[in-house]
Amino acid sequence: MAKKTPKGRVNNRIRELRNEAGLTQAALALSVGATRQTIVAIEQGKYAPSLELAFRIVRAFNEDFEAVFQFDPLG
Amino acid sequence: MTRAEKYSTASLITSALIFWFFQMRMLDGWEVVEQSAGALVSLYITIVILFIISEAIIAGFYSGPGQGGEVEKDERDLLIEKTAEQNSSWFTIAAINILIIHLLANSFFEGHAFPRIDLTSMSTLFFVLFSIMILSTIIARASTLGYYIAQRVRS
Repeated sequence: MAKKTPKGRVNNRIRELRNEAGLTQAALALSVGATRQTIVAIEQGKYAPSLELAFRIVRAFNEDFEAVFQFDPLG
Repeated sequence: MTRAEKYSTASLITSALIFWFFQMRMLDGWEVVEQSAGALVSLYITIVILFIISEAIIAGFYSGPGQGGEVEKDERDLLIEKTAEQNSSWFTIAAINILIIHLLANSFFEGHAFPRIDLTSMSTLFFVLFSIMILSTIIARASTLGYYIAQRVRS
């Protein structure tokens, strides 16, 4: 039987970076083309964004990708 | 609540009301009332028109300014909608399979103890197939709401 690959988990620092930048969830949502509820869900780890949205979020903070999103393979 | 969530809620309530209206027109207690072909065609057209009008009104009401009657959805809304549509498809497949098994069981096990549905009657067949169609819409809407509630977070 094939060994099952652990799913892993994507963590993020969006809330922290957003607070540092003085952005509201609504303002970030508007700048990346998502709804505020989607930003809330991403911040709380209830929704994993698509790569496109993840890149837009990263660019909104002007950071490196892994400064915003981190992959935990055992999560 | 996003506009997409509000749209799903309103659409679920409307679909349930249309289903109730359909049941009222087709059932007497638990028995399907035999109706003429003309009456069934009229009921079919009425239900389809009710769905089209109600969906157009709800979408128009919850669409944002300059959206042209389209409810604004982001990628999470679209993913939720897609998953809900999959649930609806699974329901339809399961319901059709139950009908097939029922038909086969009727022929294979004469006098079996399962509840009998007379699918040789046009009214009953219409009722069963149209109910599956309306219920699949209700399941899609209910699943959509369920996913929104599961992802709902306090901000």
